[in-house]
Amino acid sequence: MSPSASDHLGRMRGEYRRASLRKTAGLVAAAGLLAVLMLLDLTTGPSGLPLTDVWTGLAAGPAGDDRMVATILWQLRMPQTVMGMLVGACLGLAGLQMQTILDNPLASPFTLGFSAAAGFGAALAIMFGGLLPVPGFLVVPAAAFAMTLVASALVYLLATLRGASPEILVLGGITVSFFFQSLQSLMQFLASPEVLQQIVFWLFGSLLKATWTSVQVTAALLLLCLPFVLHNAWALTVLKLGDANARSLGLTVDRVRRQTFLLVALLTAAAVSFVGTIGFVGLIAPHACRMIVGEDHRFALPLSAVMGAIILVGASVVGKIISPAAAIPVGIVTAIAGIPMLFAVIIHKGSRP
Amino acid sequence: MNDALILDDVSIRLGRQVILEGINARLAAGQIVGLVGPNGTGKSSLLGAITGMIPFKGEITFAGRGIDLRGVGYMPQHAAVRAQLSVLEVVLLGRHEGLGWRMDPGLLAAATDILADFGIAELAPRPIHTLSGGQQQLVLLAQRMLREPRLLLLDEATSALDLAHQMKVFDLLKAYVRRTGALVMIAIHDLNLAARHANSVLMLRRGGLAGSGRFGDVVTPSALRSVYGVEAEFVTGPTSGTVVLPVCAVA
Repeated sequence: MSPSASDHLGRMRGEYRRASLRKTAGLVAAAGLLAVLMLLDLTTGPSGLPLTDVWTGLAAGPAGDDRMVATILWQLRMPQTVMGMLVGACLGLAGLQMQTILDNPLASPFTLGFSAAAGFGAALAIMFGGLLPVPGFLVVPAAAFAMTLVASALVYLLATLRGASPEILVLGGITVSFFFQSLQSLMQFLASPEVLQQIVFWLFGSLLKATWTSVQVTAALLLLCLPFVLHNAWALTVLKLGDANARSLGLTVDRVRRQTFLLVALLTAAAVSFVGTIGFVGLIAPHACRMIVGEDHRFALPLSAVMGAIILVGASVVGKIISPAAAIPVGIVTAIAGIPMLFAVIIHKGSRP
Repeated sequence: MNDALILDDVSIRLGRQVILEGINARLAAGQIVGLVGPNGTGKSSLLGAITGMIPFKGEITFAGRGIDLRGVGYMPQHAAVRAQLSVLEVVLLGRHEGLGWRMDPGLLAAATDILADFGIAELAPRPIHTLSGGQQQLVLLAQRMLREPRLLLLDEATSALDLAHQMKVFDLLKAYVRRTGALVMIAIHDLNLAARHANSVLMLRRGGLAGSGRFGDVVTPSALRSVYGVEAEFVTGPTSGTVVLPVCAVA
């Protein structure tokens, strides 16, 4: 080999390594930004805790001497902040996987009707949960979780019978979505004004519902899914080459799609059950992450999770800054802020060759 | 090198429609086989059946065993790739089964070597979706070659390439066959490329096999008349070999 040819090869390999380093740096920077936002989230709230108090409160732990600071920080704010991070991570991960398996940049964790199903489950529990011999704070999330899994089982059944192509999944998802949306509307129609208010508040999606118990359950579900999600990183990257190419490379496309679909269902159920449906995070986070690291899912999956967490914790901070007395539910903030972001994504896509 | 692709009474149906029936062939490894025939005669279906992706009746074996896609390099007809991946990342996916969390330096070296062999090293960092159709075709072919398959099945793999790149690809395929003793089967419309580069051809007609063997024995004026419905002249030059010149459609 001539010296110039070997120079060229060395340059190519160097470029690849540098690109990988840049992606890792992007991931680390995003994690740093998330940490800053979480700290900011802890300092904002109705009772305004300055950063120095937050530091000392954090250092002193939940049993710190300043009882007021300890209670505000460890019992009220911390569960909400951590929950925001977890829910955002679940939605970011679920969103990227959904966009990959449906080969559609406008897909989100809710494209296949999961939010409608969760909403119906919650509405059902809010109306009739009192009749069950189960603690009230568990009935609503359990029902939302169960109903999300029922919706996913229906779509999964269809995908098993007719093949897991994006078209079949989307058609099944739209049908399921309308079905549960109608049932949810029926519940709202039948509900008394007080119950209706509770249902509507649940549908807003708010971190105020977070407790340490819900944080633990959500974290456990995320940790359960994570190894499976990361294990599929290369398979998902291959899927981005299109079905024909992926199949011809020996990938069992249908199996990867069905597995991923189940993981998305579980992550989405984990995300919405305790805090309600929060739109746009699962749609925007994958786009933000692709702009930074592209579609090598080794980098894209973790970054999409971090991006989701950044968006959600950021929305929580904004909600509390706008209205310190009664924090605006994050679901509303993400939806309002999501519209211009979505427009930007569409315009960016349109300008691409 | 006794490996061979054996098609034993292979039939392919799509619903009630017969695509191909009673195909028998024995294709020895260590050569390039051109798969020719008019549109719609089942070239892609036959390649699909060989890979096991399209159901068929009969038996297909390579080196005495059933075919497992993991050991095969199969490139279907070109569909645009829209992924936000660099060319080098796409080529590396040719070996996705063996990729771990950290990139193997040996594999990275092999992938860059192949891009250099194809003469597209400068494309390595470019996003694949910004490439032209022909460039994408080269990248995907390089990706399949990275698999180092004993059986390489290509469906119109040179259809979007300019003359120089067509030459380059066939030179690379010939060198690959010489080096590894693999069998390359390429579905191709351009009979002159088949004449020049394929060691043998398999010609399909509607419903079955029109002939197989050396180009000159299979692709004849009468075969072109009956299979393609075309009158053609065959010219043999000192350096070009046989050149097929279509003259007119059969009245």
